[in-house]
Amino acid sequence: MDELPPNFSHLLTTNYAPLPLEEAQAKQELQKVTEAIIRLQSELRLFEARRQECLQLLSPFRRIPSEILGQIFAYHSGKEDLGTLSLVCRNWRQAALSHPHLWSELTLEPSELSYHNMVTWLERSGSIQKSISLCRDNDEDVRCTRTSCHLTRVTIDTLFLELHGPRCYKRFLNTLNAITPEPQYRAWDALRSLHLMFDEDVWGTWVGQVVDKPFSCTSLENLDIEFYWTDILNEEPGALPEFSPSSLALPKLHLLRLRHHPSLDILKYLVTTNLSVLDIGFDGVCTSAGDGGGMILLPEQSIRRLKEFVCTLRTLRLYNAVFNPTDLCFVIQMFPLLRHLILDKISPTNLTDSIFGSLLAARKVELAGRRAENERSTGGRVDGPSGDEEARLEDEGENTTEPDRNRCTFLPLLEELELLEVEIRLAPQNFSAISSFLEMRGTRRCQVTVSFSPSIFPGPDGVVEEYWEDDELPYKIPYDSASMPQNLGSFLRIVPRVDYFDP
Amino acid sequence: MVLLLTSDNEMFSVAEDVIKRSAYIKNMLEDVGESDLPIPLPNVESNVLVKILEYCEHYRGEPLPASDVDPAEIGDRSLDIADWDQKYMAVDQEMLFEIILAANYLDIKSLLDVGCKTVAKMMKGKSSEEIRTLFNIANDFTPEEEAQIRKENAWAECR
Repeated sequence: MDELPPNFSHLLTTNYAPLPLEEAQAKQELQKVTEAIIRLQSELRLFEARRQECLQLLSPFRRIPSEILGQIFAYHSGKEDLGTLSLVCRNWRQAALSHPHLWSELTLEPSELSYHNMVTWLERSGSIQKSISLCRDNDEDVRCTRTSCHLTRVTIDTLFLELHGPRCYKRFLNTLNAITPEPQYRAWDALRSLHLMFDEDVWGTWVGQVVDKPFSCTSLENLDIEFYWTDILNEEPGALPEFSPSSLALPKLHLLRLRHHPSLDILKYLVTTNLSVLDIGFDGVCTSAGDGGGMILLPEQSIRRLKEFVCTLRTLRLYNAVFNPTDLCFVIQMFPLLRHLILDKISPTNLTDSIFGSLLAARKVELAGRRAENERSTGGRVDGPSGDEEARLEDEGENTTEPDRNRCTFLPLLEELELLEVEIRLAPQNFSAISSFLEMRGTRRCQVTVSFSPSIFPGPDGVVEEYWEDDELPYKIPYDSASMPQNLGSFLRIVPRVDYFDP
Repeated sequence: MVLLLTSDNEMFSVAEDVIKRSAYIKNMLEDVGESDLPIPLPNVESNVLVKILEYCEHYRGEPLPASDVDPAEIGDRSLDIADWDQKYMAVDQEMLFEIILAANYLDIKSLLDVGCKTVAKMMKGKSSEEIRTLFNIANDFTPEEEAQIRKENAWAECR
């Protein structure tokens, strides 16, 4: 570009006003320069665009095949993420659409319910099992009816339903019933997993609503019912409203998970022939006033129902309660075919005892009672296996012959025992009890897993030695490996405590 | 030792237990047996192979992941990446995608996972436009198509 005319130099170094001719020259010069800038800017934009095109041509993503894109997309969940990815370019949209698993789960709030979108979304998952999670909101009336309307036209395998409480659920079911076009088809019928969460006090009346007819899912395999904590347990049971529903038939139910005490009511009505896993969480409930029949722990009718699962139940998990050992013993013994028992955060009412030690002690007391009963009824004559014989086998320990020991009847088929969140100070008592139990079983193996609270770490020889509490230095627990029962070594596994409320 | 020949004709001699993290090489060695001939890797350049071998060397002796899992159906969708892997993946975009492609070609599942996670993390929380800019991707939708997709993604109640 040309430089300014030489006659301008004295003006540039001073603030003198230019002469009219100089001013005209300056304006001309300004226009010329402005035009040059505009031309260059336009050229720059063109170059920028061409550069961008080259960069886009060289974008490494062009070489990424659809299956890898699908794998990258799999780390993004939720409709917002997938919506964003589908909007990037045609390739990405095609890649997302060709991976059905990306579209098989949907979490919705009531305000987001749109039948068209829901169906469009879930249809992309093809034949893969579909899961919908519906979260509660404050406008429960709107939520219940809208949700039901949309669900009737979608076939789903898993439903997570988070509701305020039974009234909301009742409206939900009523709407569902009212709008179902064909009575022989119900939205529930294809369900294999149902997770119900209620967040308000629902004692007494809710069961009727859950057991309502639309709920009878013939395909249901997993049922999970959870309540948030309420102070309902402080109320008098007699003051609660009565409900007399028909039975709840869930013929394919395999896993039943109940959280918080009111949800246990479902056990009163449940009819099933396949239940193999029962998982009950108790809110830390204390059953110190136990009656020995487990009825403080579980509703009386539940006990009767539970007896019907005797033949199928293989795994029992009890979580977060203080038990009267007699009650606990009663409940556990209802399931002699148990293969896997988990006592998680379970303590005996006498807090100085170990839970497993108390359980075995309660078992002995019960056997002694049966022995006395036998003696009374038979005048000392014993017919076949009796409490007397069982007690002898369990009392005599090492002096009992191997075939005898194999006849012990307490959890005879147990293959896995988990005692979790055991108080660290009760470690020795628990180890002794486990040792006695294994001894009693003779050659029948049982893997035992223990975790402690506070958490501990296995010592160098695989035995608990020390633990850390907060940031303090390691402590030695009042137990040393030398006194560890010999038979525990190969069967005992000590695991770290898992820090969560309720798995 | 196993001989590997890259696309730019560089020869690498690698310990068998290191390169066996590649299911592709492992299967080839099992099929062909011992051989003095180099295994050609026409899809991998030497600078990328150096990087891949760094990974295999680091994880030498670690158990190999199961190979029968469909990578698109991974159960763990956490975007957590181990510290060493994060440092390993701190490369420019060109190299990052070269590593992913090589891991895919050589069938090194764990490395492919880390690569995909790294890219997924780069995208997380970004809009479609920001993703296009980040990876130099052209928007090839017509305005009508884009409007239609936006409508599908609008989840507000439309009854």
